[in-house]
Amino acid sequence: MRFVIGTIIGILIIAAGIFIFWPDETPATTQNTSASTAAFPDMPSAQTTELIIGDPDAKATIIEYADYKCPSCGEFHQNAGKQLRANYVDKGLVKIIFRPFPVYAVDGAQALIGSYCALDQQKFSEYHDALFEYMWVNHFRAGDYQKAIDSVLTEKVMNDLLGKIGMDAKAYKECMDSKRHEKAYYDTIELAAPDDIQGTPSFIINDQKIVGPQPYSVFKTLVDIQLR
Amino acid sequence: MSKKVSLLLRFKVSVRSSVKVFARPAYIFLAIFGSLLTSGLILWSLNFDLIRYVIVEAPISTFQKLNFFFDVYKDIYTTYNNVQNAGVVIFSILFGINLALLVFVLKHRGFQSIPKKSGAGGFAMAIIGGGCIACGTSLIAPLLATFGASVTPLIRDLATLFTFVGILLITYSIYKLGLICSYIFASRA
Repeated sequence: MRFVIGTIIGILIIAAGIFIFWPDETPATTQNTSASTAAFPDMPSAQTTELIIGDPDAKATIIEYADYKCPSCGEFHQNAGKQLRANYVDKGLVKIIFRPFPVYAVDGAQALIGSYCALDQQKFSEYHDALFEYMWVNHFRAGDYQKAIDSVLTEKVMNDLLGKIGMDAKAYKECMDSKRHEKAYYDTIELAAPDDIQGTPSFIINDQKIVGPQPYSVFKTLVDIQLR
Repeated sequence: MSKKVSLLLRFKVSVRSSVKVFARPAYIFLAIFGSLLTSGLILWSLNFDLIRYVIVEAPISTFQKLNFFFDVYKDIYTTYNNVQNAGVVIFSILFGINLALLVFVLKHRGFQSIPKKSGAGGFAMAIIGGGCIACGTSLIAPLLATFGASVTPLIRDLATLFTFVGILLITYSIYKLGLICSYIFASRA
């Protein structure tokens, strides 16, 4: 009996050792854009049209892959996201690079493409917050996850949101109709593959991948390391 | 009717025996350790590389590393913003109890007395369900895609269902182990 238990404990210790000391696979995306482009000359053009929240020259960077209609992304935005914004982004210490990763429905994808049109009007940050807030307050907070695939971001809803954040709805529509940002959008989605992104929300901080709406302390630890 | 009474009686016997096991502090500690380990495994199921980085490579002090894990656990056990989070906590506690009873039975009766459904299925279910809470769409979406399905709005509902099934399976396991414990106590008496 003791031999069997001893063997099991031995196997567990060896397995833990292999797990801890096995070489790590870091995501392909690096925090320094120019270095990244130089290392991967075939990188898509999205490197030049990143959707940035905060000071573009901030020392630390959080890369976020998300979908406005993803409930877990909304959860992150409400919790750790807001704390990060208040404690780091608003103080110019950290910038968030938002990379669209469409998971839910056509209207969600359209809203993601619209991020680039919002960027044209210098309102991306407000647009990003307004969409997450809308989905959370009206649907996800009450547990209505069905709305993730229902077409809820109608023209009327979008126009209301655009009006609230001071965007020109007509210019936004023209931008969407012209489809001039679709290349940037699809190129950005392609960046997810080398970063081994499987779903949303996923993040990369200091070459470390974080999957899911983890607590604030997880992000804080990695950001603090990057700020040293 | 008699079958119902019999089942109720068996349940009571199982619970009483389980409580008796936890009269020994060592098993309480084992249950707590098992609960913490389980909730950690569920919530970190898709972030093992990150954990390895924090433990092995991160240029921070041991105190900061301990604080990192303490903060995460504090968050797990104090934030119940939806049914799924509560499900993970309930499952983790039940799994800790199951582990402690399992060790008690192993110690006194050996492997042959272990019931077949002693928790593996429940654990797998809860990993999938609980992992979804921690990982957004990253766990179930690829699984569904493997079976040819596109991502559905049911991801979170499925996660809740898996966690619930996991809780049921682990509860059944505790019930069976509790009964074996009662035989152990009876044979000792």
